[in-house]
Amino acid sequence: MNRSLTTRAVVVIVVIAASLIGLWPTIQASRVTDEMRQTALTDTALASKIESWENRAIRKGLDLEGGMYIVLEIDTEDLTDTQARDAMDRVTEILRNRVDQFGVSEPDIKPLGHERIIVQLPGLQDVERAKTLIGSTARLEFRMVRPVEDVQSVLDKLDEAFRTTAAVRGDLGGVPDITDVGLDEIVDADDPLALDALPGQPGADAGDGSSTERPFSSLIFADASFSQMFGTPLAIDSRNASRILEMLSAPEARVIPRSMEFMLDMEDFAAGDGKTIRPLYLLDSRAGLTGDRLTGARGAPNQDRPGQFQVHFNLDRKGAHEFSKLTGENVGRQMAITLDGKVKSAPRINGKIPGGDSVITGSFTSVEANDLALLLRAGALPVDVQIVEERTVGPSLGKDSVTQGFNAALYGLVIVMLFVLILYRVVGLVVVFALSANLVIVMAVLAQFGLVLTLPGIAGIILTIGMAVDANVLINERIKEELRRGKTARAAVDSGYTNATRTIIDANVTTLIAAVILWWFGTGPIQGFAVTLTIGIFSSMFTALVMTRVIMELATRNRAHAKLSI
Amino acid sequence: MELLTKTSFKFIEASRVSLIISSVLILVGIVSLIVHGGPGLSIDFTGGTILQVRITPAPEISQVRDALNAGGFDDFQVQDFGSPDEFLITFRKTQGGTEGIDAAEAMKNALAKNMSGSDVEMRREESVGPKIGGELKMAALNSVVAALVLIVLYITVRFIFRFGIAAIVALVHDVLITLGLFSILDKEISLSIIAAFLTIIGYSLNDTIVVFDRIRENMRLRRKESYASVVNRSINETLSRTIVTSLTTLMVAGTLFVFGGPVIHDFAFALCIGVFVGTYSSIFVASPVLVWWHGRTVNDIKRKQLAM
Repeated sequence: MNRSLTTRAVVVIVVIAASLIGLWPTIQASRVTDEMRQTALTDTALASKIESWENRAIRKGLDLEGGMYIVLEIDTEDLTDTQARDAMDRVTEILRNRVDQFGVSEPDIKPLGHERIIVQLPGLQDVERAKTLIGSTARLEFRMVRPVEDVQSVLDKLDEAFRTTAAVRGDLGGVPDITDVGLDEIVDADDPLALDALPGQPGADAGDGSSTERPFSSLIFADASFSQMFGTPLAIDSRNASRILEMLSAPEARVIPRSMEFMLDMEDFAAGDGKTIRPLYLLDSRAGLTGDRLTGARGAPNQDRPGQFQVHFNLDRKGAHEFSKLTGENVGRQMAITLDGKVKSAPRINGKIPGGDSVITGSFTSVEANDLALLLRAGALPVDVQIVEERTVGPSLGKDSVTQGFNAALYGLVIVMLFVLILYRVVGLVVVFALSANLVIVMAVLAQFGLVLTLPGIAGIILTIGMAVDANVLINERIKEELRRGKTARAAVDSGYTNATRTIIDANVTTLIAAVILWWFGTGPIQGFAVTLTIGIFSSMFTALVMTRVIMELATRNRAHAKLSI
Repeated sequence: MELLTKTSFKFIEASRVSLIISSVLILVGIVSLIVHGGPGLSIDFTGGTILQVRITPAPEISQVRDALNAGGFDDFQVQDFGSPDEFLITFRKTQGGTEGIDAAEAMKNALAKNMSGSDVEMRREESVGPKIGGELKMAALNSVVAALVLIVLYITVRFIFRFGIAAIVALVHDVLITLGLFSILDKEISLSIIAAFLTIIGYSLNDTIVVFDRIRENMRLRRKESYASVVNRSINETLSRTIVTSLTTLMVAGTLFVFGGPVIHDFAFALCIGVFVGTYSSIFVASPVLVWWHGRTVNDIKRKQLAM
């Protein structure tokens, strides 16, 4: 046996052995049954074994395992480059903190370019909850609600400003197509709210051209009883929310004194007849205190209202001092607790609150209370973020994809192997061996390097099975040709491999170019395809050019004149 | 078993016919693209949301539409997806007062509320903002162009420029036909379809290069034969391999199409078409272009010689 052949044979055996070893945990992990998991609850040895298998098994992508993929964009508009970089770091850190507390296993949070962050949450299903958790700025503020006199004068000023613009433009300008529900609708509705007008505000005569007279306040319901319920006398029809916000950011809204600001409630309230209203607050522009001073927060049941939850919080010393001063000076007034520019609740201050411990009330479920506490603990994001891309795969679809992908791979492999065996008979066995080895090597590389297997990735593996045949076909067709030219089996094998090598490499490089570009351009699942395709190309070249050659040379070694069945 | 051992099909002479076939296929595709106002782009590129829901017991597709209409949604599409109880809901614009990316939950609620008695399961949800969509569109376009350029470069380096041009003509041919077919069948181009296109570009070249490789080899061995004859001989000599490889690749792409599930159905479909068209083009497009280009340059040289 010549030396180089021995060396190559050893290399082949080592590669196959290493691949099988690398793939072992994956095989073991896939054989773990529910029964074994039950046993593992008490049997720590088995539990650690399972854990070790799973840690070293092939990682499944979100599309196979189920989970969320979110891309966030941070608002860098008013930031310098350095500030933007800092903001990215800070946001990433806070998000990590939030997600860790949320209890997602193996979350992945990483920056993407200069203003985006990718968040991957395997296994997570509650899309809305996760979005709130990831996308909230979580800026908590305590602001005093302005007294009714201010509300009245600001509304008058706004009406006048909008009326003037409308008169100048000759129409209602700027605010077309307002859905004016009208007060009477709500009055007629079978609802418990009694609608009284604010002092000096002719409330009940809506629908008689009041929208021209009072372009702004005609959109607003004013009722003293709202104050009891919400802590503000104002509310709007929920459907008008975006109109109101639009008007409040219009140039006319500059007549609102700088020290005051309108803010909507976070939630809608039923007002009968299927309609909902949303409270509107006039608040101090300046926050009396912000969430920066928070040291802790937790959700807990509301003792006064069974079934409802609230969030307890603690402030640091400086915060506690400020809070005690703020509450002490404003006993009897309403204090709004706002989160990201929306009012969560506006309780009445019944007395000075010393010590820095207090609660945020409002209509929380247990989950909502705990999530808000979590957000507050992790801290506010330094900038606003926006979810710009989101992809979620449910666990059932993931499982289906695994089954379907596995079946497609199995059937593909079987069909190709049968075809090759029929076509090449005995030599076909060598090809079948090469294909199997190819599959094992690709999977082992995935497992060893912690690469992620996705559904397109499985497609990539299947495609490589088909394409791996190509190299073998090129070689075998070449050998056949050489045999037809009258060469002996040994010589035909030699020149067959030599001549085919160049072609095989040339032909594979172009697919490799495509795969590399895919990797560069693709995201998540597509990258998984590029990865398996690339590994598959290399491993199919190795199995075809090195592995089968060793076998063929060994087979024809002592039979220089023998016939070769191709 | 011997598959097509000694063939001597006259491929180059048949190229008139193939020219007609290819032209018709491409033309029909282009007409369809024009009629449809460009390729149908998925939400990956336009921005928007898709929801894959499973509703049990399986309702009629119109019931799903009605349920969403009742929830205040209008501009959306509902289609069957894989099995009778699964549906794909696509919408691109702002819906029911909520931005696309937040509308998924509202839609889900509308379904659950208006299809009482049914179990609505969210299987998949994808939302892409318009800005990201625009960026992905550019990235996809760039990647396809980059792949084409790099491949021409590679072939030019490994062979000669003429081969590169012939290969590119074949590639553009393949992509155009697949794109046209997607348009005719009203299938959308998504990120994964672009991935399939890139794979087709890479794969289709395998065949072309194997033929080219043989042409180069035969050019050295048979200096007295005409260029067309050498090309024809090379195609015939590699025909067996071309067919076997295409068959095995078609087999796996086919199993993927049949067994791979609805999520990668279109992707597998694109691969099947690509493998088929790619094989056809390396025989009937790339090689004739090579012969034609060669003939032109030879004529040029002759004309120059006559002029002197």
